Amino acid sequence: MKKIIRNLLCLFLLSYTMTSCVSVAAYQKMHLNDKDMALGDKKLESFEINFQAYREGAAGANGGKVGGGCGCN
Amino acid sequence: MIIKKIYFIISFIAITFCTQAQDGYQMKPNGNYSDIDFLSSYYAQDGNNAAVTGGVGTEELTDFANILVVSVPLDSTQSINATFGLDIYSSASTDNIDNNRSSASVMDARKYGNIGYTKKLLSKGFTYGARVGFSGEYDYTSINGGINLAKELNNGNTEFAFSAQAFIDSWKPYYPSELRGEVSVPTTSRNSYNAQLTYSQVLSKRLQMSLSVEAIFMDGLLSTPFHRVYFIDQATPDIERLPSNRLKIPLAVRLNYKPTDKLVVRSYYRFYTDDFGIDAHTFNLELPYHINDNWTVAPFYRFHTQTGSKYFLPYAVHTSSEEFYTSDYDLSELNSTKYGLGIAYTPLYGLARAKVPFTKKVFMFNSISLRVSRYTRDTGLTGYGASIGMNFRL
Repeated sequence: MKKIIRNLLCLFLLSYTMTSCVSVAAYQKMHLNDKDMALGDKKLESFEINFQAYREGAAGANGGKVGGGCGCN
Repeated sequence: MIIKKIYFIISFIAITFCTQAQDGYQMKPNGNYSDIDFLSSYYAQDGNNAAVTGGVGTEELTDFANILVVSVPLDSTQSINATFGLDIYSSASTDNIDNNRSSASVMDARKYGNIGYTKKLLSKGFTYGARVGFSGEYDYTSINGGINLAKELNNGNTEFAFSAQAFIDSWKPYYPSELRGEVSVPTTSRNSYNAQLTYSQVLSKRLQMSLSVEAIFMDGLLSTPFHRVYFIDQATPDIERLPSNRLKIPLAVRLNYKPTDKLVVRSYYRFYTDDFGIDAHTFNLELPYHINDNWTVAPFYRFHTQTGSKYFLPYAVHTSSEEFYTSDYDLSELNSTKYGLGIAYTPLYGLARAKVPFTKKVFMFNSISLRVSRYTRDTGLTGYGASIGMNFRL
């Protein structure tokens, strides 16, 4: 577990130092501001994330449900 | 040694934050309109490995889910968000808690809601917020609370976000009819705590990515009191028994790319591990295509593979001397696929609009989205989902 955390922090650091020089000005963000470019799940996906969390042992890291509700059906 | 390295890394990041030039950058303030989303979904599934009947028997289930999401800006920096939901589900397997079919458990409802507050410090690129919520089912209640923090850097091209939540849940245990009075559970509480760190980065005018790591810790009654387990060495079943705590670690990467003015490539990969022995890989690809300014179609595909929990065995394979056991195929080794199509209609001036009497405000039916999906699991379970979302602005 410690190894995973350490590697992940290194990955974060590496990504950050490699990319922090990238600077796209606000007026150049036309494509990045496309709703479909958002770095998150769409609202309508929440239903599917919910049943996937129930039907699979794995969940999380997508802003979806990680607790509350037994999911036992 | 590892702790020292972590301190070093955190210090390095902190120093780098402080030296990032912001060039007078100010984050985007709240809009001056409220967003109201009404989402509704119908999901149906069937299979033949129900945990209620020990890993055999129907998994037929339907779920009609509805969510209302309201986001109201109080001013340019503060906003209130509220979510209310109602799921109405029928479950053939849950109905088999009793041998008498069509009992009260055949249909039930889950009600839930939460409310949150968010504040932006525009000149500092900092956002913070908190939320509280609840959910309730016939045998299960949950209250939850959480906080979220986010810091924009590098003129809005970099963001670090942190969120933490706690769910305090309580069971009202129902046991299989033939085991009532024979079995009990050590506790009726189940608590979940999770913390998530997300790093988002603009990589070019058409490319951006995010990295997320989350830790989820659960303790209390993690088994389900009405799941049966049958044994190879005795005729009488028992209820599912699982350890009283579980640590889950998912790590995820998102990469979104817009190669042309009409096409977006949305990709997502997640690695997951937990101390029940499940390791999983999930890959998701979605390709939204803007047919014109109003219409977008988005085919998607998802693949998931996982190893089985060390506590899982199929029907009548466990031995009664084991400490923990389950025949719930959600915890088995499995591969699943999902594919489908999303359609969104977002006309520039909305589908319909009307002036609100005695005010200067306009109520607008802004957009409508549809999404259909088919889900298959190689254990034999198949599911279908259809959902609709409507966005209104005031």
